[in-house]
Amino acid sequence: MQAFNPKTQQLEDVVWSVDRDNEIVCTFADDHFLKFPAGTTKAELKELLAAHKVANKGQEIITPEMEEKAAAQRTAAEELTAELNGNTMPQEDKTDVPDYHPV
Amino acid sequence: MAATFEFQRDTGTQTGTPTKGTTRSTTTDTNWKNSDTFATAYSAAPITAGNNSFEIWNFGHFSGTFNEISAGLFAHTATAFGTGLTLKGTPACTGDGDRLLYTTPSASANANLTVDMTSAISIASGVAVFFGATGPEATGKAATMTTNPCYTNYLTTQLQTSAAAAAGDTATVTLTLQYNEN
Repeated sequence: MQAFNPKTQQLEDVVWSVDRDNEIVCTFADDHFLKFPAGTTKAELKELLAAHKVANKGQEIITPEMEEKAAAQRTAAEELTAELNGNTMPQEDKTDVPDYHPV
Repeated sequence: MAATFEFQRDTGTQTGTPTKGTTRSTTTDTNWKNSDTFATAYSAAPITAGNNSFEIWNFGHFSGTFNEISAGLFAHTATAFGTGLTLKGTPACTGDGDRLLYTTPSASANANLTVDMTSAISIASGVAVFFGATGPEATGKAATMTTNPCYTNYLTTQLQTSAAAAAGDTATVTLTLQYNEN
């Protein structure tokens, strides 16, 4: 029996197992897993898998790579706006000003 | 003026009709743990790898000044979980009859939490959230609500783990509740 993987948005082959609490576990090839309650029958499992597919179809996944790209864009944009606002002096330079000795 | 928002959480044995928790608290964090006691620190109730957390029955509470709350969406929107972790969440509420009814929290896998929230997704593809008066359990939920105070349906989550889950804290992830107010 296959299961719908929300990450790939596809039906995939899975490995079925039972955990120590007698819950039924299906594990995808990418190690993602779903748990179903102890005592679930085959008919109930089919219904739960169908409900799982309906509930998760259409998810627009944000990958870690996409998050890194967005973070880099934000950093670059913040640096640019700081420069445009005239705040261009590196922090270390601000503490390295010459001593001032009034006469 | 604007609406005042806070997350609240029901805990304890289910009570009443429609069911709700015995205790209702305002919360500023969501730490999945091996306990339903609100005040118990997650570090004092760790989830053993292979087990599940108790469900967390959070919901949104609106007060202050507003005309209308609408267009609710709920999703995990930033930062990936590590290996061996699956986050399950409340199904979409697209009708009053869809709202999740409170059950006494436990560490057993909750089959009613049909949405897989493990991966971060765009909030636009999150589950629909409805709003209503009295509390998250109450009937009369709708996509748009003018009552004040106003509540979302339950935004329930449960962290499930496998033996592959790493010891220690999970990554800190972002769960977003998006709504319009005017």
